[in-house]
Amino acid sequence: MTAYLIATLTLVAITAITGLALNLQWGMGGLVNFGLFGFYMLGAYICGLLTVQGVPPLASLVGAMCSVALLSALVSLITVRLSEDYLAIVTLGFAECLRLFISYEEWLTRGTLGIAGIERPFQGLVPAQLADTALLAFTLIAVALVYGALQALAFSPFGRLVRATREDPAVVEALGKSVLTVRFKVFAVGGAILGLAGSLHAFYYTYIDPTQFSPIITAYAFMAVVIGGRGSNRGVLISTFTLILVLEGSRFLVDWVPHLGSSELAAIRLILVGAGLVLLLIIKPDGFGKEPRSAEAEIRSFTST
Amino acid sequence: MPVIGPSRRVFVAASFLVASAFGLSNSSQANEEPIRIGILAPFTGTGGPYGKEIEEAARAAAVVINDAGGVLGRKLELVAADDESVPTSGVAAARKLIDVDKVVAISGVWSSAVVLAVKPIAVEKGVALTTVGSADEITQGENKGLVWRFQTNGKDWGAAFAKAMAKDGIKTASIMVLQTPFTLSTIEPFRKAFTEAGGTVLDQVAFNPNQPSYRVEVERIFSKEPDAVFVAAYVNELSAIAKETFRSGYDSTIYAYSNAADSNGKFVQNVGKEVAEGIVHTQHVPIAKSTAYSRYLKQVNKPEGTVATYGGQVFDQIVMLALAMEKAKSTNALDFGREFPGLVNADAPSIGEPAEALKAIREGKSFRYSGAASDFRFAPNGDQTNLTYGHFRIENGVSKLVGEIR
Repeated sequence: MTAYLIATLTLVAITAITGLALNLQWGMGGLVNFGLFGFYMLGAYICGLLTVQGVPPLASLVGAMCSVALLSALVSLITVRLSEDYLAIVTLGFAECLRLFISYEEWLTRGTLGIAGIERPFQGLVPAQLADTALLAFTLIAVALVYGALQALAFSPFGRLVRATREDPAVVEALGKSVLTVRFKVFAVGGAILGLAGSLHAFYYTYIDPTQFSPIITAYAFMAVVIGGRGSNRGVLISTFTLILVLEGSRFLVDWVPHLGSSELAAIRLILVGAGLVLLLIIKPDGFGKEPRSAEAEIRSFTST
Repeated sequence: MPVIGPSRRVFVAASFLVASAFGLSNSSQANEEPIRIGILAPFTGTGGPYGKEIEEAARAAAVVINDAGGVLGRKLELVAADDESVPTSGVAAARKLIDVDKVVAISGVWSSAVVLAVKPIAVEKGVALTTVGSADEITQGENKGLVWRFQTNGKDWGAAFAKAMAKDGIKTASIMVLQTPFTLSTIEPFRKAFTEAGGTVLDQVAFNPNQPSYRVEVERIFSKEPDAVFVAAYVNELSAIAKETFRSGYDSTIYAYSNAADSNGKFVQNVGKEVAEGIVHTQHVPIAKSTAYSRYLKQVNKPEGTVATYGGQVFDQIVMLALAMEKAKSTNALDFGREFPGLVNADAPSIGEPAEALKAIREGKSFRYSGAASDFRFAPNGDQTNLTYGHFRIENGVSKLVGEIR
């Protein structure tokens, strides 16, 4: 059971990092990035490919973060003309293209066979029985670093600027700030975080193939941000925990339903997951957390007291 | 703001409670009595149509074994889990089976991608992995005698298609292939064998699962009017492609895997008799009378002559696991895994009835198990050899055996 919990917590941590990245891009920045899973996949593949080429895992991870950040920033340039739904469609299209590229370009990515035997960081240093625990610790440190960095960003002047571009880009432009620059940076930072999450995915599974990366990853990230409360990093941490709890907990739930075949139970399990999430949003419509208060709200609360 | 419903802290606390309650009640139930085997099957997703067949076959085998006194005096207990046909979910489900349910083996496992993702964990934790996945990579690498394939590998299967076409007098063929590790692994061997037999491959196109339409691919391949088209795909994609071809009035013969074109008649149900007419399929199946296969069909209440290839293969998996544990006198997969080849390769009388085989082991008699899915043998790497492929044609909605391929 302990081993299972360790594995599941690692999954929670990876999902949390993905959620935090989306919370920056969509939660704070209002940029609907449906192509999130593409950047995540890219991170996993760059890290995986570098590692099996003999590059040390940590260096591969840094390489993946930098390259995804760069590509992500370049993709943000299309936001000059696109926003909202249109941005969502384009990013989704970009991610699907990327997946097709990875599925078919066998010379580079080994296609649908995937990459096996990915080395984990510090693999030689920790005994084999503690490998999963070590990875969990590593992943939790990553979550802490990302959380800390994003919290600092959210409370910084730049964080206010990001939120302002979400609320009204025209006003931001009028104040002499470049909206595009802000979005470029937001996509770059988000991309780096997604690259990190993808790399951790590769380390966790030690085997990656294109079918592991589907829009469901984007969907989970959006669920995490919506349930967590848009803009609240703390909310995202709580909501990813809840999300994986519902997803994994339901595996145990179906063991206790008698007189039904496994096919029916499998379908019921997925229905339960959906119902659980709907229920959650009925109970907590605004999510678990609150966005850091804007200056205006603070003045209002100050004057009212 | 007024708080409606339970507060955040209460909610989190409750979540923890629920989680730990599930965990505790589950582990406290795991007493030492039954031997647990995990069934990791695709109940939802691309492999969804096959999940039920796999589970039923496993349960049928477990009943047969338990009725014969179980293994080492203990009952077999099966724990089923859904891999959603996706590697990430498969890994999560496999971890639960291994760490929480404490299974000694994971069986079923349909998708090659899921097998490849689960394999490192099974090998690390010393759990046996028996699969119906075909990708050649499954049995490669250091598997510690834990990974056994109850399915032809992609290489031999691809060649079998070329032989079937040669028999049918096919001169030109084209290929439509689903982009998955298994389906792709059959293509090169097919091309090679087909061209060596004097045939010409006109064109090849790859497509993705869950495409909204296969119109473009069908047009490109069938408009060149090859004698035959090898459609390397599963039942869902094959159904869509067959319908599309029929509507466009093309008459190239479609060749497909039997598990797509006839898995318990699902394909004919999907497309109707008219569309299915004349489609050829091959798969290694028990051609001669197989005691084990009849036993399986009887146990799941299917009439004689039903083609349920995955079912037969999974039935064999559970029986072989039971026999191996009985023979090794151990439930440690690192011990009993190595017994697999000996059980089927021995130069001794064949036994197809699982109960008799168990009895023979207990009495120390030498024998070999003659499987349900085919009279297979095992190569040291975990691949099956000595397989005979059935060559079927669908006539009036029913698969008719027209020959066999060796």
